[in-house]
Amino acid sequence: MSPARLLAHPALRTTALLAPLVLLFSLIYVGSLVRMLLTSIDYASLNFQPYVDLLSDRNILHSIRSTITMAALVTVICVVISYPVAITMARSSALTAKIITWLIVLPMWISTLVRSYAWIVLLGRQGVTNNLLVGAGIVDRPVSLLYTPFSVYVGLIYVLLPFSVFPIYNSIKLIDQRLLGAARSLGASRFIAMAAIFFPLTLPGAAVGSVLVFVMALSYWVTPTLLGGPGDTTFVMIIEKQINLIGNMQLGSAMAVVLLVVTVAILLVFQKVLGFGSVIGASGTYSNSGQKLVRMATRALVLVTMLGRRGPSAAAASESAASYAEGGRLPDFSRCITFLTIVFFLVPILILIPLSFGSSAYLKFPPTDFSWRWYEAYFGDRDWITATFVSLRVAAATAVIGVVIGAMAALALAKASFPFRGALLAVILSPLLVPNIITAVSLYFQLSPLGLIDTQTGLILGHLVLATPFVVMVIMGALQNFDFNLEKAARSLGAGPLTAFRTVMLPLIASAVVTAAFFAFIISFDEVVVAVFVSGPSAPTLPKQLLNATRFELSPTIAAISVILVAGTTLLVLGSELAGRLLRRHEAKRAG
Amino acid sequence: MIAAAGFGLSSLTAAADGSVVVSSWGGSFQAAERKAIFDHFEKATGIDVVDDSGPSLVKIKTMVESGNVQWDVAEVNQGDYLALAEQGLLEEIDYSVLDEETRKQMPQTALLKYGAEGVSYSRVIGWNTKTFGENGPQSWADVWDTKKFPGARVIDAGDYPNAPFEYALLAEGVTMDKMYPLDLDRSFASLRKIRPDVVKWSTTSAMGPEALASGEADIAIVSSSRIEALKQNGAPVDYTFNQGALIKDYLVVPKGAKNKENAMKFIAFYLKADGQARLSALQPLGPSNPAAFEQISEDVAHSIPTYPKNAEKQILIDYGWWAQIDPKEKKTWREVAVARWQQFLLEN
Repeated sequence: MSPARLLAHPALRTTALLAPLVLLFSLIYVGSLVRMLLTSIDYASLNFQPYVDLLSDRNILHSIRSTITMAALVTVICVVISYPVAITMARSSALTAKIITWLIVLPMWISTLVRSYAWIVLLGRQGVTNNLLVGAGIVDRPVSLLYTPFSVYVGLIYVLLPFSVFPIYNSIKLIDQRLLGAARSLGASRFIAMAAIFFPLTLPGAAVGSVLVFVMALSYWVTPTLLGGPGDTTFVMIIEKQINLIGNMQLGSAMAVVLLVVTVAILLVFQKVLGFGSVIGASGTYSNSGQKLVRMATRALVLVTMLGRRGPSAAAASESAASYAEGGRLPDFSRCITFLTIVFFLVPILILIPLSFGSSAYLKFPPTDFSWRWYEAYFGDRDWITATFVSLRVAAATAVIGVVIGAMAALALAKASFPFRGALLAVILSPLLVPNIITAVSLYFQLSPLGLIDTQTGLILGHLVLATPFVVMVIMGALQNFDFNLEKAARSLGAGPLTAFRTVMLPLIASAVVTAAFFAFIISFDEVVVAVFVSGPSAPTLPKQLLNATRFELSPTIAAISVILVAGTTLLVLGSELAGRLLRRHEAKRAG
Repeated sequence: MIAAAGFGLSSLTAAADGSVVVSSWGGSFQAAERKAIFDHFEKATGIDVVDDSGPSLVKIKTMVESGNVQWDVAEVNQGDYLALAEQGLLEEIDYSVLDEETRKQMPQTALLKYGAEGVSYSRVIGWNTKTFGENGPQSWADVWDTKKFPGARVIDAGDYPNAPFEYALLAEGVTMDKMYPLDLDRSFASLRKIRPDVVKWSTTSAMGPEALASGEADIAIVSSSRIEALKQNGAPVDYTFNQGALIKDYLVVPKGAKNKENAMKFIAFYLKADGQARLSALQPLGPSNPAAFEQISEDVAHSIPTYPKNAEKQILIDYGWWAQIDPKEKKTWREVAVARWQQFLLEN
């Protein structure tokens, strides 16, 4: 039987699509989940005391609660900002959308570590923001911005916002504009059309975006560690100390299990209450989620109607959003938010550029004189260059392999209903919920017998575990609104399953595939904890080198590297865009 | 036949020389070690030094337990040394490979069963000279005196490897000879007094110096070597060795290291006076071999933590006490203190 024929059978198809991801996870990841559970109860003695201690510790419970509250608030803020930005992008010309996309992803080339230091320079007592505020006479004395909850929120939103913008943008792009016209011609007001048609159709994207932002905000400890004040200790920071400082794997693992259980419970409630389709683990078939869509639409409609009646501002907001849906003038509100968001994304980069050209041996802003010194330090050091290429290579491999196996799994999960589907999804998402230090320790045990410690293959496998959940989520989100009848139609017209996928489905989910690949790339490119464990002397990664360079001192080299990456990738993208244009023009000439 | 013999011989030489994988702290520190010691070791012995970084307690534990030990030598801090030795994760150091001269020079206290003292560093009181000029705080009592020295503080967190519990008691007038067993209640009470003036409890070594240089803090606990480098580069900072904490790093060999013999040779070489003198000239850190001072210029020596004039002003943290078990909680004092620290952060 040819592979194509094999794929025609639904059960075989599902199995084949899931196989690579299941293989990867069972090979190197499931063992680490089991290890975490067993370590937490000390498998020799079956000691459940850590759990008893944890759940009766008022401070621990308080810390879990405050961490979740923070993550939830970050999520809400990110989603609220993402909508106007995504709407603006969807309404813009292809070129403008590309430019906005690029400006938003620009900071993602910079290590999260360095991004946090840029915020320290920006928000400090004698930092740029305070100098501006005092200079403009808005405040008399510098205000405390750094080392407060405010700076933690700023730092987290800065890192996480792209993870909600792009899934929402992808789902807006998938909306068939004629639906909105149809609703209007049937007598719906612009606002009802918006509430009943537009919003429900973007919910899968919003669900994916909020889940990604939420779990990342929960588990991110670099930003709160560097930017937070005395009260901003998150639960994952406590876990990290328990393992790294005390070396108590048992208690650390028990804490991680508690975090995992609590987070999964929250995601389940989130899904039940908001009815966010099967994106986050409900076992449902396509027809089932179709029904859910209707329910969601009704709920959203009622909600927005109520809001609209209550006050003029909500009505105005939905009105302006509706005008987008009708293809009217781009709402000023959305454009304004988008502009501010882009400024927000660019300011830390604009700080890093002058820092990288200063001659001072520490991060001094504004720099007093010009120097190439830190660029020479980078280009003159073989270790930096090697590390950069190792990271680029590992991230590229992670993105390519991750997007293939992740997309395959997403296809199977979005379409088929089979036993343990929910459980499988939960396992696939769990690497996002387990603190990286625990995954890293376990990976060491899993990769050692395979001889993959201190190899790039080992590192790629480790990063695949961390990055594939992003791919599965993003592509499943895009498939939520995909009409599988289109595929059926293509098949009935004689297209094989692969042809049907390539010609019907792929073009529609293409932007989600690109988003997924980019997320996978960035997750790998910025990852340090697994890299510290799995990569060894033969191929240290860039984040590992950056960690070393910021342990005792903050050498401005870290600013220079950031500028090099931002400028380099921008030139690369500009170049390929230009080349594409020239090529098209050339072809058009030949054709004409 | 001859070719085969030649081949056999060359691979034998390679095996005899081989390599040693050393995990140190990376960055400019390891770059200095490379120049001052690693390169010289390679030249002298023909053994390649392979650099790795990030020698954490948990990674060494993972390596030993998995049976796949990638490092031959790791440079760990004093607290981690005790934990690793206690848990049986280290090889005994073979001091028989020390040359006669180094053996005579090294103090016995630096040559422990499972680790040899490498370099010392110092956590000292630093200040911003724009705020206090040359007359910054000279003791922990001064740091705690917010009337005499008003301003923002950055102080090491209780869950940083070098916690502030001793400093808090020194500020209260407790002397070092009466420090242990340490009164945690009193220490936390003292920390509560300074808390309103602490903008950041720092958990990385880079935080304090950068906060001083940028003006974010007026007083901070900093590593003497880093603050000295900033001062020389014109940053508005100064510091004192008074009541600073003198802390040691240990060279250890994880149990089951693949190149154990080379590891021992490497450690013996690291202790030699001339290499340590070269290292101290690049970064003002304390050599464990006192004879190194004979080769260090007076100018440089003034900023080195173990220089006798500086060492006598400083305190020694009793890490051994912290590793002991609290009979009430059945955990080490370190664990008890960290748990209480997390509680301390949450209370208001």
